[in-house]
Amino acid sequence: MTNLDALNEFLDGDSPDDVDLSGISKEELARHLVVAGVTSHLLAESAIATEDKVRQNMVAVNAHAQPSRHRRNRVFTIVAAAAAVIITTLVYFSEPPSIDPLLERIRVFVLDDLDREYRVKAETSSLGAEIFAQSMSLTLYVRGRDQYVAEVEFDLFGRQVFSTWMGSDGREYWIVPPRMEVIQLPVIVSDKSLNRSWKSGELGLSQEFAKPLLRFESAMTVFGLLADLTANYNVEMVPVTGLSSLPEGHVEIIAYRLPQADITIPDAMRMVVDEDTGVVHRVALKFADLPSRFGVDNPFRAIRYDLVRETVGGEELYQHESYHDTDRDVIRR
Amino acid sequence: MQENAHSLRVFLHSIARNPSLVDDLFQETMIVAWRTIDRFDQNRSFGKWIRGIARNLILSQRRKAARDILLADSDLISLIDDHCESIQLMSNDYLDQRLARLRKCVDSLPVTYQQAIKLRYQNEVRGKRLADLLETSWDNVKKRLQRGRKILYECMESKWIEPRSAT
Repeated sequence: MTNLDALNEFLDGDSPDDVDLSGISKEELARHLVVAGVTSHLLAESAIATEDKVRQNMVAVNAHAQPSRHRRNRVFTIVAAAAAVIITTLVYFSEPPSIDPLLERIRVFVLDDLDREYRVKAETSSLGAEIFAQSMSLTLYVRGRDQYVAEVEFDLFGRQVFSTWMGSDGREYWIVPPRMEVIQLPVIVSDKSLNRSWKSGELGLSQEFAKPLLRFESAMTVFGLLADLTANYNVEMVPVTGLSSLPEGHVEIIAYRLPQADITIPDAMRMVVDEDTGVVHRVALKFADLPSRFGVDNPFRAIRYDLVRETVGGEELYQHESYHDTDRDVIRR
Repeated sequence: MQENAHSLRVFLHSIARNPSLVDDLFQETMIVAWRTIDRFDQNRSFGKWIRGIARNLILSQRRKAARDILLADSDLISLIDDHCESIQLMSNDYLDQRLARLRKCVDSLPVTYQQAIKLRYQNEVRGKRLADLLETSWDNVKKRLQRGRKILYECMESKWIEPRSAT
């Protein structure tokens, strides 16, 4: 077999592993592989079909990545809103009303049998990470004290969408990594916290992605947030300002972490709540920008949850079997 | 970023035999890039950085996905990376514009070559099955693919350096 035959057999034949390539220089082989790679990429049906989608996606990403007048405006708005809140608090609430009845109403709200869907938005700690985070969408379904599902969708420039699910049915915690074709990743189920339930590399690099979310596992349920709020924060209640989408009768709970509390939990928490029913419409968490010596490695600067809808679903919403095929490996820890 | 996403996929297609593995590696590379973007030195080539992540993934996956990786040879991967980098640097316009022009190269191939190339690279058919589909001998198919690739390579070379105004 000539070198050219060997190369052709290697590139296009049925058994490339059996071809002897010793007569071909690596430079030549690399050149042919790149030509084949460009051709494959060109002709990959999905790449062609999604080109427009890629472009639209990138327009959105680029628009976000522009140096940020919007960002400055947003910061200004937040500062102005914070100032307004502080002034309002100082002027009108020298004798603040007790917050305890409202917290009790929230508890009642949390523990009823409805499933609540929250759209979650994360603001990352750097512009670079934010460009990637723009491709991510996170939806949280919660019910009661400890049932939740966090669904993370990552859209890679319109080329691929993959999903990871993390959740608990109240008895077990589980994580379902994305389904991939070649690199098979198992589903992990544990009766303990998920945060340390997997071995290094076991879930592929998706665990890098899940880790920061699971670091704040209590933030996965409104009940967990409420428990944190009462245990680790100084809590104030103020009228809602600047949220025209909500009818009257809503208040905002503003909470600042107590000095003695763990500094890796959110610095501040805000909840927009219906004062009569205790329905939690919005939660915003703000994290301190901790130096790396604290080992937190949290890419999020802020996380916001917005209530999308309340439904009555089944138990299966919180069970891992609903999110993977029966042929997936399930590892119990 | 889109430019680099294209270049990354060309890099992966050059090394991975199976398009599903290309998707898997692309996905994993982007996750790592997302988590480590702050460590990227802006004075360096972003494309080279992101392909470096992919390269480490390929080398770490070579045992698990051995059947689907063409050659997990570190030197060869470096050479492929250099080719991808030079492809990106060769022209002032964007890679997707160049790729659009390259599609014209495929469309302008003689029909017999075009059929073979499309079946091989679009439908991922190889070997004897490809010969059966084209109703000719395997030796004949190999020649068509080889000549088709040669024409494509020459066309690609001319299109890489085509000035933007010529698009």
